[in-house]
Amino acid sequence: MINRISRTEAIKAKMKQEGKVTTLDKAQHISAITTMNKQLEAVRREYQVKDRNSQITASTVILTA
Amino acid sequence: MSISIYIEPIATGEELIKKLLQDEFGISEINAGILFTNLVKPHFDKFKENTFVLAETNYVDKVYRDSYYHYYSSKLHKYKRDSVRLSFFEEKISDTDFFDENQHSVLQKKYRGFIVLRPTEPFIMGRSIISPLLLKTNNFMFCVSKFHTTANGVKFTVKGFPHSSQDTETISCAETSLWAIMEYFSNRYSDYQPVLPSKIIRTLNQVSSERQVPSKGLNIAQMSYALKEFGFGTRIYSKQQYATEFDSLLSCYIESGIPIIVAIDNRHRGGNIGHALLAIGHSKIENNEIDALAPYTTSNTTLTGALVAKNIVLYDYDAITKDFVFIDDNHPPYQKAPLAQPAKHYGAEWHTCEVTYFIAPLYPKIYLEAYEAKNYVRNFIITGPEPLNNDSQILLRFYLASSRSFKDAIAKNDTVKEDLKGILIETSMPKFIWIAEVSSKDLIKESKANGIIIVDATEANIYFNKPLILAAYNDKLILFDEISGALESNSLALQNFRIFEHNLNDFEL
Repeated sequence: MINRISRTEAIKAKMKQEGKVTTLDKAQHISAITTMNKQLEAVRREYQVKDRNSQITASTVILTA
Repeated sequence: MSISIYIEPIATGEELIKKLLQDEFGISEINAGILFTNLVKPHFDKFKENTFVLAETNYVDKVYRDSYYHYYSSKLHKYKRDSVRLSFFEEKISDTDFFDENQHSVLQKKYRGFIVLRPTEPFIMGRSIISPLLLKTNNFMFCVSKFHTTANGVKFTVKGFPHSSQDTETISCAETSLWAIMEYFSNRYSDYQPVLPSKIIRTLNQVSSERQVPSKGLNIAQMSYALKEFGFGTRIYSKQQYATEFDSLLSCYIESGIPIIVAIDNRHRGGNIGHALLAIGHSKIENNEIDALAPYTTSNTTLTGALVAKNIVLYDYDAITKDFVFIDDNHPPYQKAPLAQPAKHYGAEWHTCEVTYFIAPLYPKIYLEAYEAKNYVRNFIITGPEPLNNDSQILLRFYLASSRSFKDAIAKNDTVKEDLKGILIETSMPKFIWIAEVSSKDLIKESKANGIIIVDATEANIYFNKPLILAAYNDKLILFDEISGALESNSLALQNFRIFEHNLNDFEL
């Protein structure tokens, strides 16, 4: 008989059986995830501007010394 | 044409070098003395007193030969083709050791690298790889690679970082930095090829409206382009744009074991200096530096509001004030300086220089870069669906790692609890992952953490926690259920574990 030695499934099943698992799908969780999405969207817009400006100005700095 | 070989203690190094410069390169006695004092002595002064030098003439150096055939040989003045190689050993060696196989392992233990002298007066310092073990002070960690070389016919290995000074005609500081970074990556990873000066020139010719030699330096965009052509997914970071985040982003890449090209200049302060160098590591972090670390602040009002409302104090490991280790072609290797004074080892006219840009040579499939990845983790633990407890004080140590190295280190780490270890090793991960270790000021002094967040570096989609692979902190394990795709929080008792320290290495034999 072939033995499967990976443990993750057993660990997860045991946690589920012991009632240690909470699905993060309640209203407060969804609200937090939605807020995170908005936050990270703002970070991305900010990053894209910083990244583009870094590229544009990079061609003006000559390194010779 | 036979090779002349000399073995001398470093104490008589001046006499030896002056003789070699005169005999091999036809340099006058006066100039040989000046060159020794100005260029060679600063290197020798950093070496331990018990260093022995083995010098070999008629050395064919791949980098100088490339410059010679593509440039110097086309001049009227007759430049010599051959170089001189100086190999360094810690403790006494004798010529008979090299012909006795039983002594080879002893010689290897004493071997500390080499420096090539090239016949391009006055810029005679060619490429080198020096083990920091040869240095009088070496309390730092850096991106290390093992190089294979020879001395007096015997094969040796040395751990270090490639260095060369510029010859100012085929390679300026910018080309030298490109050469050194490619030499490091190609030696360490099979994905990359080493490049010689002529290849750098050829690559940049494609985007240049002028000739490339004699070199007049490069701009940052050209350097980034060259690295892109050599196989990297490069990113450019400007201090003006990233402002307060700039230093910690630079530090984060160094902590990730990625050597980066740093641009320093003082033109914005009325000077005329623009210089490229490599940042490759940092000094070992002292407890007082951790104590002095100020809490993380951000201009992001939502995040600041959440930190205040929950009374959470967040520390960023990357913000610890420390010396960085630089490979600077105007100085011996492994110069240490804080980011605030990157040219402190130069003369006064350089002291107004500051770091204005850096280029991160990333693996091309790292689509999520440091700025977004760090922001993702901060948002997740502070405002996410399973945030930190109120009144928490945590220190985040953030870095990029290959999942291979990470899993290997986890498998060997006996301080990681069995359940977490099993899950970490059996979780599918891309080639590179962002890791945030959740620690505290006290725990990090013991090189320990009690939580970890793993983020997919190939996932640029930041919505609905797509980049999250798993997170374990506050005795909770947060990950997606493979079947339903829902994010789940599992109660899992965690314990303190040793942090991952394989990106930057010591340089033991």
